[in-house]
Amino acid sequence: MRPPRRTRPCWTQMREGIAMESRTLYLPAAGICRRPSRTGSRTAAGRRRRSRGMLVPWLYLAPALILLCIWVYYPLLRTAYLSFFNWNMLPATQPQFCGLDNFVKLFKTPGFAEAVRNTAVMMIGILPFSIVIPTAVAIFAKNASKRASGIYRGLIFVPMMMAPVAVAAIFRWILHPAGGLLNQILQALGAGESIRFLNDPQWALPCIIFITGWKMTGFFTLLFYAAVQQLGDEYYQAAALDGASFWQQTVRITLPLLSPTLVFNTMLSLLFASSWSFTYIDTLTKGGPLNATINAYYFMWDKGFRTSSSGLTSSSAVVFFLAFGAIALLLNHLGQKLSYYDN
Amino acid sequence: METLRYPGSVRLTGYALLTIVSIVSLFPLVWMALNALKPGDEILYFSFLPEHVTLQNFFDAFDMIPLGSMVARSFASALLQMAAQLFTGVLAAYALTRWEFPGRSFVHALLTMTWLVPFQATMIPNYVSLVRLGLRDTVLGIVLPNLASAFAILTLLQSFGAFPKTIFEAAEIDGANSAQTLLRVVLPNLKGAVASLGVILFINCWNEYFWPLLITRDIGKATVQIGLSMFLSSEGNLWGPLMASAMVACLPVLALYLVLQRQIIDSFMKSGIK
Amino acid sequence: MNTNLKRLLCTALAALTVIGATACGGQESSSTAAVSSAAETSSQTAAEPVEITFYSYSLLNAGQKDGTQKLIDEFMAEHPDIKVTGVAVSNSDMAARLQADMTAGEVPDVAQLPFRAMDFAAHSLGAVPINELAGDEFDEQFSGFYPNGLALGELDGQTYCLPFTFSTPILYYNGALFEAAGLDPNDPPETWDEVNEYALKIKEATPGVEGVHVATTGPSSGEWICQALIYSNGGSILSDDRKTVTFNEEGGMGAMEMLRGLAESGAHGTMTEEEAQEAFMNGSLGMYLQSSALYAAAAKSAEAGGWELYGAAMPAFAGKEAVPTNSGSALFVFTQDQAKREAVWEFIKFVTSERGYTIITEDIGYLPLRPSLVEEGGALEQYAEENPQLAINLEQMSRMRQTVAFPGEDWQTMSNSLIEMVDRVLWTTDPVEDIVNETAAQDQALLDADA
Repeated sequence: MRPPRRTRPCWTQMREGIAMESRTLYLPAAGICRRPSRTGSRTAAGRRRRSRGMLVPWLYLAPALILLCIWVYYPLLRTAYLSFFNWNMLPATQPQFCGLDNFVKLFKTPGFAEAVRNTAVMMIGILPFSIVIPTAVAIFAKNASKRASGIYRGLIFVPMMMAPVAVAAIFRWILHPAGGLLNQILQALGAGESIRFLNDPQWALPCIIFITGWKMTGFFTLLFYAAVQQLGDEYYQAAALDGASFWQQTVRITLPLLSPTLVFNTMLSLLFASSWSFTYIDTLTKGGPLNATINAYYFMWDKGFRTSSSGLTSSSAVVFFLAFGAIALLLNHLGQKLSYYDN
Repeated sequence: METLRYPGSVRLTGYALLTIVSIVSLFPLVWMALNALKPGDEILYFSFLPEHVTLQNFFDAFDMIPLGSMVARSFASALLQMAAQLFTGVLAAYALTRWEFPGRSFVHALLTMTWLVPFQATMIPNYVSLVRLGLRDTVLGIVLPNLASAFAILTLLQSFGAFPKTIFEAAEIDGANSAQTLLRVVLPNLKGAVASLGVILFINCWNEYFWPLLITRDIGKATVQIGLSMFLSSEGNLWGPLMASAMVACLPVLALYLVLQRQIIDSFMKSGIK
Repeated sequence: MNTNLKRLLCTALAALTVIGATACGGQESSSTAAVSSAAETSSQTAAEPVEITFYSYSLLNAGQKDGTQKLIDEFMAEHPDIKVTGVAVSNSDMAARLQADMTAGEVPDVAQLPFRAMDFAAHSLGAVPINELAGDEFDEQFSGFYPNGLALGELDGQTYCLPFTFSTPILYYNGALFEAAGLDPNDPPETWDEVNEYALKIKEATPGVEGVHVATTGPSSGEWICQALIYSNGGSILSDDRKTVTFNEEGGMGAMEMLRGLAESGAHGTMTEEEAQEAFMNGSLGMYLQSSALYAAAAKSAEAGGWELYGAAMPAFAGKEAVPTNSGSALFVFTQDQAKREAVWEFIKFVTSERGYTIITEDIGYLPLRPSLVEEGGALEQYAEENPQLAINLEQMSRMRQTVAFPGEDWQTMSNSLIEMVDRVLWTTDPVEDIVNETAAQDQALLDADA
């Protein structure tokens, strides 16, 4: 197959020239193995073709990149800029440069330490709801009958369909100390005093985690189920021939094949845990009692956007971005190391 | 797809787990539905079943807030936003999976970072832009800053990444160009993943509260989440109408889920390509 | 990297910059734009109606929206030359909205803001004093007002706002629980000692119910009742020059000790604010000190639950007179444009007229500031008979004091600190003196930093 066929589109050669360098390509149609040529594109004509080929991925990326630059990166830079200024928002006045004052003030605000601690607790506490249960559900649903699987997944997805404000209201009633369902059940079982679920520093955070997790389970089940469906059957058929049990198959085939999804969804879960709990914190506890449920997201909104200083507002947004950005890049890096792809 | 048979104990464990999780998931919805049917303040008395069943809360809800137009508005914006995010997301994810090109990892990092930009960080500058474009109180105003979603791109990248690269090559040899490969080979095989993501993107927009609230001036142009919050106030919460409108607000999401669910099930049929 | 790609990237970047600049622009241009458009409005001919924007959180409340719209509609019917655009804003996220609008160069012409934002509105947002706006008409317009009502909007000798929806604290109590405890519902507790005693009796008589809840807890409620407790015990919040925190002096300390006493004896419930409200409405809380605005909802649920709702004035400290404070919202004026100012003044005149307060009372559920309305022959005479809480409110107005609006850019932090202080007094065992002194020191530091 040397030299490259000139009848094929230029970008194809570019693709061969770069992507195939390190990889042996298996062509099912031809059934042959080959190492592609590296020399084909080293001519002047090849360079020209290659550069035209370079354009294609950028064309596909353009809509997303342009939109994100306009609506995310430009405003982000603007906000970052404002975080170094003091400004009382009046159109007639000019912002005053104040260095890092806004950041210092933010870190000194009462509740900051609790917010950091609770955010960490929430991130870990949410994992059973976002990873463990959805993975198990997805694996079992794949093995259930088609009709049963569809019904179960539909039911588990129900929390996602419910409006957050309504969910908060419903859980307030269920957890209510004066006759709420959960306390009724506990008292029927012989518990003494009714539990102040939302006003007891020991209980309030677990309750917020449960409600957030309850809402997220359907979301992650959907993602895991889609991933499980993409796993090829041939592995299982081969394993079954070897006499591997269901559990062995799960541990040796399913989980390793799901590893990219597991890592990615863990990242999703860690990052969403904080923001998804916002409505429940805001409606049910307002960060209390005694800051027991305040988290980073609520802290930023409450101290940054419910007060009236644009400097504090911008600096909270910047801190938020940097903190979560660091976590995401770390996870992304870990993800590339841990993920196992089957091709 | 022919399911492999497993011993009864495995299937029993599976059904038991699925049943428990389903009940816990469903219970609050049932509770909400029952309370939507209770008259006035019966909700305060914690009975599980309604003593008197009434539809009054639904009439009250439609009477007190423009619920119909709110649902329509939310539906239009969620659908538009979902379609746009899937479109820009599929193109971008395809580009990142299909080609190794200089700057690829930079773009990838850039996208990952965007995903983390909190809405608060962009809220005020974007609001200023929208005011200038005269888009307050419009569906376009709700969706315009969110036409591309890093979350969508990265999730799609996961699915695309699991897609065997050899198929790209095979399609090329058959003479397909990149767009044809995407449309005829890649998308049909990833229908399930795209449909799942679609449901989630729709719901994300449907549940959006702060941004629509910020750009809404006229209550007649508000979205359904804003409508729901109007029943909660320091002068006493209106539980009945809240539960009733929350029920109504579930319906469009349910409809979309059922439609897209079909796509997810249809995608069972792939696997032969490996 | 090859040259073609570089060129492409440069072009793309340039294009983005241009798009970004046109779409988002600098805010410097916006303020000039706002000024010039304001100038155009002033020079418009009389034929075209003057447009004013009215920011209102009552418009975002299912139960108050129609009443508020009625106020706007009736006003416009009377004044075809003025067009009022009601802008619905969220009460809890008002600050974010104002920040966004101010950055976009838009200032509300007239806005409904909570009283506690008064200092901020006056000094940071540049509210126009109503007396300046009204000029000669001021005295005439407000001659029939409760003098204390008008005083609620005074700061530095100016009137910065006018009460729109405002309320006073009422001690609601459950007649059935009173009777079960052998108490006479017609003889409400008058002092906090009695509240403590009654609450314990109620709790003992009916298992599972709480005795009393004072709505000073949790950030959703107001620090205003906390301020009322401190005033009632002879204390104060800030010094007269508004530069020194004074709630940690004897009066404030004693008020907090009283709350700790209620918690220690078990008289005070341990629920969140919302839970307490729901518990009162379903008949499992004996007494509830909360805003008079809750009356309609409480009366409705009492009727549904088959118990009698009673109300009394805020209890006093032994040997002292109770000093209630006010919560709710007032109207502030921000427009810099002369024609709009005139229109806004017409609007305020209507809202604070007899007709305006009739709508506010009947359709929105707040208080009339004109005594003549409830007197014989007044528009609200019958309403007052059907709504006994009105008489309690109006009686309390003679003793009422303005809720302090904290100064400086940290006004909200200071406001919230009072609520956090009460939370600690009620839910922890830290010494009250330490809690109050720590809160005071923290607020003093914020005051000093702003000065």
